[in-house]
Amino acid sequence: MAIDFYPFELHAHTRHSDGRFAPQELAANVASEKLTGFALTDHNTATGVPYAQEAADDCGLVFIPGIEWTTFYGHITVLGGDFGIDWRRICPSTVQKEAAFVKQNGGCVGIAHPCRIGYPICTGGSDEWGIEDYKDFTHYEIWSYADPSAEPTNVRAEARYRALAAQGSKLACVYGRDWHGGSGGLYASTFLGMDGKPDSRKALEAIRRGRSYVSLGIRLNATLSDGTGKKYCIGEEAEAGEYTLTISIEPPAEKGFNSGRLFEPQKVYVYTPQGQSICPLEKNQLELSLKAQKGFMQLAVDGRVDGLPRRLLIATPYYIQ
Amino acid sequence: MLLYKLETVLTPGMTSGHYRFPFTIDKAFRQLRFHYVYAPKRLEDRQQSLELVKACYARYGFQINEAQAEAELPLSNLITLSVDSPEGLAGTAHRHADDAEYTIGPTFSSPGFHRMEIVAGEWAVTLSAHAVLSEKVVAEVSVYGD
Repeated sequence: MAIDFYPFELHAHTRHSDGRFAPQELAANVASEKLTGFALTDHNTATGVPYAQEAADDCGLVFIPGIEWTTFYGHITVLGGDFGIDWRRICPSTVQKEAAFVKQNGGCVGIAHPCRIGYPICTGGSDEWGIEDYKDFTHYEIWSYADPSAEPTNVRAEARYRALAAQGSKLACVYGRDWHGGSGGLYASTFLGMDGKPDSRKALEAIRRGRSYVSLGIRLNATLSDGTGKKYCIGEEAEAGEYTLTISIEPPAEKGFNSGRLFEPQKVYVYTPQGQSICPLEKNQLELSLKAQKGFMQLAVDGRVDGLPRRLLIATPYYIQ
Repeated sequence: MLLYKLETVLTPGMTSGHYRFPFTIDKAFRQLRFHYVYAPKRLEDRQQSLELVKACYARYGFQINEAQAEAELPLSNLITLSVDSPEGLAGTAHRHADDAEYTIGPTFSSPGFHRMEIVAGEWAVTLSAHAVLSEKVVAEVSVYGD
């Protein structure tokens, strides 16, 4: 099985809530950025879905129907449909049950911009659910908005994500532009791993399996191999033990997402519950022999984009049993 | 024809609440129109706004300077409108507009609302208070049947 990763936008709005795009305009902008597909996550409504589906089909894009539960306690992106849930009943005492319902019915459900400044600047913008166990959730929006890795609230979200992983949570890391209109600027994308021609079912499956990384444009090829030759994809579970980690970094696909920018990947961070290792890339490649201990092992890549020092990529961890 | 007129006042203590106002339609209509207005939209007191912004950032563990606080202004009230038909949620207008008209009917509904037949029975409007910063926000909903 060959897993390839494709760039998606997983958090976008239209005039069906407070976005400035018509669904057709959103799809056209996604297509112009050479993304593979997008999710429509209007605030508290999914009435734009049939229009966005038609527009995506016209543009040759993969489309994921969705909604953003925009509540007083936090925002949640639901992907795969709206599942007939009335957003007004989502509150701290019901959120786990409703999230579990979505997940059990084939959808994905994740915390949006968990560390954004909340009320009164962005009501409910911050994760204030008081959730102790994220087992009913599938993803966590560690990056949001423009120039995401330079945004302090995203830096905090990344740290919180690793803290949750250390506690045993298995959430796909995702980026959401929280796209309300306009284009240009330094944005990221969520790359989803799937086998064969991309479609919405495979995209949702990739999120559920944690086959994801967020990136400003560079592409990650990472292979974790044990002594028997068995290989593990990011997001997968592996036994504690000796491994070889092979990494190669590729520039954006030609004419692809952010392909006009100059990327200089410089070093790979390997995070575990025990700490972090920093390994320089040589010709965009790295091979490491390592001993994986119980917990998780997460990769991130730092470097420069258009001359600016930035974190370029963060991957969903390998989970070590 | 005017079927229902709501005028209500929301105060800061009502933030993070849903306020449901049912009304009965005694016959079918071709469509319903909802004229929704609330005022004021903005918190006009600049000094109070700056203090709220700084307190907000501090609550989330960030310190900001005067210019950064200024960049967050103006602060706005945000009260969204949802409509329930006798069958359940007909839709939500999550918009920042403080004066808008929304239509629900079988052949056309405004973005955010499902298309549906307008049947007799108990309908409702719900005001969801995402942010009430002003001392008093007056909200009005006029429901017309065509």
